[in-house]
Amino acid sequence: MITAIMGGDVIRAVTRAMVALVSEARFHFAEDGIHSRAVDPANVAMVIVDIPKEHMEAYSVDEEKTVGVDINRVYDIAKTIKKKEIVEITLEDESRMKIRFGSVEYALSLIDPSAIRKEPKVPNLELPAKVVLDAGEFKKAIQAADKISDHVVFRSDETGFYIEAEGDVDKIVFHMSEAELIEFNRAEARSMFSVEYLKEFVKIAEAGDLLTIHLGNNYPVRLVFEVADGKAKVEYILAPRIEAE
Amino acid sequence: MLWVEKYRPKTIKDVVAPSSIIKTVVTWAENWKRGVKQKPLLFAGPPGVGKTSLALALANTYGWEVVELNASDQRNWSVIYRIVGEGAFNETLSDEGDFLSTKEGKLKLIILDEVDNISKKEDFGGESALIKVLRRNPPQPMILIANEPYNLSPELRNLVTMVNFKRLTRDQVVKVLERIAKLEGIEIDKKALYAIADNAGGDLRAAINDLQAVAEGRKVVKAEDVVVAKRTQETDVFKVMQKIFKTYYSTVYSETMLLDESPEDLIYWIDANVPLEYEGEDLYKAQLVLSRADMFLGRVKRRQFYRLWKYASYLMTVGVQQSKSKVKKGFTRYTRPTFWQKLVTFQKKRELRRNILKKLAKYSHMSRKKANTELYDYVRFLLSTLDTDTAAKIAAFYDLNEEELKFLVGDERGEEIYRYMKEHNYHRIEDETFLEGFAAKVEEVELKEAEVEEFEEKEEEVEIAGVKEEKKEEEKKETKRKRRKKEKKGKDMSLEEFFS
Repeated sequence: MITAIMGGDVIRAVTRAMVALVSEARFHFAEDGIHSRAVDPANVAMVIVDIPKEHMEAYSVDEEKTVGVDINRVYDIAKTIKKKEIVEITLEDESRMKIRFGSVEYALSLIDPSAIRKEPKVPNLELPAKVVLDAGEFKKAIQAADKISDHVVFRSDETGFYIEAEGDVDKIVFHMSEAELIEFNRAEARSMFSVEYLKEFVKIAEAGDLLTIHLGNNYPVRLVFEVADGKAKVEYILAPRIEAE
Repeated sequence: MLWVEKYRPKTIKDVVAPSSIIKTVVTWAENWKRGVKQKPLLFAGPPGVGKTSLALALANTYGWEVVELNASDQRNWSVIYRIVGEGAFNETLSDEGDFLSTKEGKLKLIILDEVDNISKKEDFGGESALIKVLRRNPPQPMILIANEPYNLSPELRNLVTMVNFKRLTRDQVVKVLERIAKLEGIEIDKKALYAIADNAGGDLRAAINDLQAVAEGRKVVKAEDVVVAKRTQETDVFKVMQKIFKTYYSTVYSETMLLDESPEDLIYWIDANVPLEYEGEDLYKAQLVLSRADMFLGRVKRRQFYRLWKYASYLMTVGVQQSKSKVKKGFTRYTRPTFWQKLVTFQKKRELRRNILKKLAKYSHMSRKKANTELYDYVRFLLSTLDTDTAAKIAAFYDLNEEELKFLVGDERGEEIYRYMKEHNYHRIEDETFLEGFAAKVEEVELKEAEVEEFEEKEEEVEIAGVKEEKKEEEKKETKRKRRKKEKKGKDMSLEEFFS
């Protein structure tokens, strides 16, 4: 039997992060924590979720298990959980998961993991630029960009990190210099991405969360969010847009 | 495991398809490989002829990642936008954990299976979303697959290159079956294979499934072992027409049951094609039977008693079939019924006539019904026989537009009257005399007129701010009328003037 006790904010953030890309996913309940990863149906983006054992209130595993979860359903339930509430997840076998919070006990029937799309391997990417910033700022930039365009350019050079969106008539540039960034390695990189995905990604971000961006040249970007006060790690890998010649 | 999956062709070479199709598809893929954008392909053809297999084998041959969307997925507007739209404009992350860049020729093939089944209701907006995506000229290859390409909108068809697949021949099917049997280590009679192939009617998938059903658990299969349930072959309305008009087999009735047409639609098909096949006495008899069938259809409608459909169907198929004395020789190209098209044009005409009647009724102070019976033809007669000036005045009085005039008196005369109207600036204005009753209010409005004209866009706000709530509506109208009056410089038509 597996028991995991965690804060409501963790389960909310994690399910929100997964629901941005897929409706079903496999979750591994391993010795060192809970892990999941999935690639979206269009093979453009990947999400990797980790809840380390240390960041849960309590976690006990007598035998490692992999279960298939209908993320949409769990997310619907998770939305009603308050942030400060304590959630207890128990797993007796592979067919049913119990989620207990407040006075509610939700028994969720699970999906056969083999019926879910194969898990992707995590790509090994060499990305020169590394930027660490407040996820809240990033969220604002993406939401602004969404108003005028369907794609944005992430760019970094020695002067700082830029997010640029160009619409038919308008243009938005979001610029953070080294002083404003938490960490920055001044490397040069530039890639273009779909706002459609980014705007889903930033929904888990809150002001104060840390976001690490690994950026390359016309290469996928890695966005590592530390959500729920750093208790869970959500990583997105997004393939770049094909730029018209 | 299903053999259909197990023996799905891995590469282009294994696909059973005419060389012309293979050539088109390979050139298409080669162009993509060289970085030349191509129109998406539309694979069209009956089920089981290898459309999906070819698409998958193609991706496999060129090492493309596949994103597949088929009928079991929901395919509404947002799904198409997210998966097809985003998938086609972004680079790819493969399941193997690689980043695939189009610049290196590593593409992603998006396969949209059964596009003709994107349902109008559940997948609302799916097709128009697809059209929008295709218009943007996607930089990733895409293959659409459909059984009935003509169910797709012409707009969509214009955005793709169509590749037509035909039913496979018996020998082609047998060849594949033979190979599979060999690989499975089954000894099978050639006759048995032919029996299976015949029954499948050019549907390779069905044939392979049947073979598996027959051969499972056996090592040797003989012809008499093949007792597969008769597959209901897809039939189409043209085949049914042929059976009705060219043969005397009364099985045609059960065949029409397999058609995807209700008796109410089928009768139009038969009605449209009877005169192409029958003549003289035969035609007369056939029409008689058809009219009887139509009576049954009417009864079904009226009584909501659908059991009567059976009699209607029998009469229109077997009835028409048996009423011929001889079969007309040679090939007949059957036509589609024009009834539905006509319905649309009739509807337009009805709509036009209704609008005219509305105007006649309004300006001559009578009901629309009365305008129809008493005034409509009279006005039409006046318009077409009077001199142009008077006719134009009448037209202006009734506020008829160009389209309506042309409808009433024909294109030429309508054009003439309309031009005359425009030249002399004849147009209808409302009778002003009754405005006198509102004189006091009009004055009040006039004060604001200057303001109104200055801030034309803000007209409404200015008025709302300045005038009491209950007067607002009336006065707004009056201002407009007054302003309209000012603008008019030509000859105005009013009731008195017209009748004087």
